[in-house]
Amino acid sequence: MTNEEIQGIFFLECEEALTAAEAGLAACREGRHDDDTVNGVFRAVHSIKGGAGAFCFTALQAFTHGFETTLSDVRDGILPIEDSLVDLLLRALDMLNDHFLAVRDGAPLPDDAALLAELAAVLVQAPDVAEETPAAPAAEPVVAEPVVAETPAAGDDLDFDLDSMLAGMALDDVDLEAAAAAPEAAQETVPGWTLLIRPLDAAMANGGEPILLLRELERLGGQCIHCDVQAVPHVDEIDTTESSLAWTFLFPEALDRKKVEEVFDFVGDDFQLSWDVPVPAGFSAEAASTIDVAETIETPAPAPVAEAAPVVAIAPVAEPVAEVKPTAAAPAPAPAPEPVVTPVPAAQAEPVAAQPAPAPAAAAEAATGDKGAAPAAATGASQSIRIDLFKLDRLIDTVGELVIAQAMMAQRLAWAGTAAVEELATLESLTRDIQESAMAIRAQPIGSVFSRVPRMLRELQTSTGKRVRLEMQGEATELDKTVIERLGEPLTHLIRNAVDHGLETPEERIAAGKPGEGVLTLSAEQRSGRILIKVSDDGKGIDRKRVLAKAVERGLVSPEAQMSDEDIDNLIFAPGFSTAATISNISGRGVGMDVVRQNVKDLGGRISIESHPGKGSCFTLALPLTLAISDGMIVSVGDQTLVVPLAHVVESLRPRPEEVASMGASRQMLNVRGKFIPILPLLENVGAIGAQTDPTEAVLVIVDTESAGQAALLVDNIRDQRQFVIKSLDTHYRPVNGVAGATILGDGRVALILDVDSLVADAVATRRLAA
Amino acid sequence: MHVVSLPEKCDRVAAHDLAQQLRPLIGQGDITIDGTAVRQVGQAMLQTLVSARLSAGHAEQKLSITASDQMRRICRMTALEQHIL
Repeated sequence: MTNEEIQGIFFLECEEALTAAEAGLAACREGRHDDDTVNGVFRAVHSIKGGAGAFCFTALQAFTHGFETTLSDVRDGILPIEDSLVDLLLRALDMLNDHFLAVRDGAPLPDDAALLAELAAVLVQAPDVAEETPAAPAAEPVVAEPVVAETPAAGDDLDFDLDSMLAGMALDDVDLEAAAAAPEAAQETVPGWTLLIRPLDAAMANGGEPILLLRELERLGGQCIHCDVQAVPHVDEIDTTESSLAWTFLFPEALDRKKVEEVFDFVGDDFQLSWDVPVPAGFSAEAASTIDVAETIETPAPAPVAEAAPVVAIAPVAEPVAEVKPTAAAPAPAPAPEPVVTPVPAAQAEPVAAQPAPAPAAAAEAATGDKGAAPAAATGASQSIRIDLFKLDRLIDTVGELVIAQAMMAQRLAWAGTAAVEELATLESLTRDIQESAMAIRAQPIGSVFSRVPRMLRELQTSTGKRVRLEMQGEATELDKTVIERLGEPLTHLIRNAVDHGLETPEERIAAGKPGEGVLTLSAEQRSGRILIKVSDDGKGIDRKRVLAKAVERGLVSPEAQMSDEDIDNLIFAPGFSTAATISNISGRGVGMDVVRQNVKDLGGRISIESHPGKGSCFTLALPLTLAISDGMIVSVGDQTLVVPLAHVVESLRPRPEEVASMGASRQMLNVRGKFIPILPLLENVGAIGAQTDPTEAVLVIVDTESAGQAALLVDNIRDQRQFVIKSLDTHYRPVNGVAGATILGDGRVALILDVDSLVADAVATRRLAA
Repeated sequence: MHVVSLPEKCDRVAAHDLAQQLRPLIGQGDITIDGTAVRQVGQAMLQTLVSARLSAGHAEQKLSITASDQMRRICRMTALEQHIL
């Protein structure tokens, strides 16, 4: 795998991590800030930091380092989660996203100095910082949180490294300086739990440098107590691409194993890790506790600084401390170690407070949980695989051809009079299963699009001064990756429009008897083979009087035109239409809603509006699940064979003469249980020869559309109902109004797929003008 | 006496070179590995040095390794000081 490919995977993982962090912080904002949620955010940022270091994205790594430091204090309960803090973390996440775009797309590097200062300031204000004793009683020795420098040292926090990077890195300096800056490395290490690390050959073959990970373990407070050299071969046989060393590390009892696990986040299965291995022979606990690591690494003793932030270090003395306040979380008061206060230079370190050690039972539970989590994570990793999109698309294309071939074979068997064979039905069922499975691979939750909305809203609130609360439903609804990718733009327009035009200012809302904070609701659901996405607000609704006046002013409609509310609402989709008094950077140029409709139409979807004055508006996007294969009704019109997408079909019938009413010379209406809908002879649209024109001798297919209501398509007969593979007419020919594409039928002939929505809308509009 | 000098950057390539240089020297008299210029050490070099020490021991051959401060520190950090220095 090339560096570029590895980097590409890192970018994908960054996107996932950013999405996860956004979801986690959104949950925090809603008051759901449990340990798992906060840990999830921390791990997401930590993952980005690790990869950023590995790829030498210095600015990204530096920012994530500052961000992570604050998150670490949040995770450890040092910083209480308040709205103001969540706001800060969300802004930090936005900045992190900007940094990510800078490294991925070459976007300008964001100026993060002010935000980093804010993050650092929050740390300084942390209520527990000044305390020298742990907040909760603990029977076990406590370990200080790592003191972090303002900016990570070069190469700091490298979870893995590439061999080529060794050239740019003074490994020895990194190790020693980072270790010197980390107080826990300068503390005594007491006997605790052990970990055997055995780099496998893959760790060497992939260009990894295991020594960097050992340095990270040391920084966490671990001590390398043994190196197993038994596997090292004779110099005649040594192969520098193979790994033959294994190290045993000893960690303080109170150190969270998750922190050690995180060091190995990026190395996958390249390392064999064995927890709680026996301490190697010849090593004594006394030796461990008496080793002066500070001397070993030759760190100059820090000069005491009067204002230096105190750091609570490990202390093996287990004497009760009077100031210790028991908490409900601790099962029973237990003697706590007396903390040793070690001043560190202020310039090197930010203040931290000790992480309260868990009580024995809790610690055991935590340890069990950790152990349980590791296999689960491993299982999760083994159950997913990244696939090149090109390969996936090729699979989809092949499945499409399979569907066509299956249809052609069925047709041929039908001609031969053997269509009713059981095997054919089985093949058809299997083909459909394969098609659905293949499409499911391309399906993604719409949450990936929704996840971008919170940031957008934050920015909109800042620029408009409006207050908006976001509610989302159905984020897990899945639809095709291509649809997902192309959905971002129309959705962005709709949301910006809703905030800019739909929602009122807090003052206006309060004056109208509404809460000052508006509500924007995003929802997604699957219904009748389509995905319905709704963007609704509880704002003032469409000002139809103003819309109509603007449309008349622009010549879009006649001043005498009698238009329904629905017609007026749809005017906002007209090209160049805008009621905005001023053009802002948010909306008002009159291109947004036109683009929205076109984008949705390009996706084979429809958009409709429902608006109530004073109560708000709801835009509904009805989209196909996939763009490749769909279900359709095969119909004949004269010498033409056409496909009507099944998603539009309501019912089909052959009317009795009394159910058909004529209006004028050429218009006919169908009475469907008391409701009159227009009959549209398709022969006019497709130029068919010899088509049936008498509704009572033909078949009427009643279809539903988003923009023009229902209509009855007049066809000669219905031939079949089956899946069809959509071939783009735009690609192979040119866009044709009323035609969504083409497909190949079982008999090998090409059939046009009707664009029912535009077909009906155009026909209704034409008839209205004619009337 | 044979003297082999280590480069500043003791990465995998340097480890491979060292192994190549050492092979004909095992059993052929005293060897000195000069690591006084070393600033960076990776695992490949560490295990090659351990291998050199073991191989020389089996051949009852004297092997001296002089280390820079940086190299010495890495050896200590990895608990390899007694196996290499």
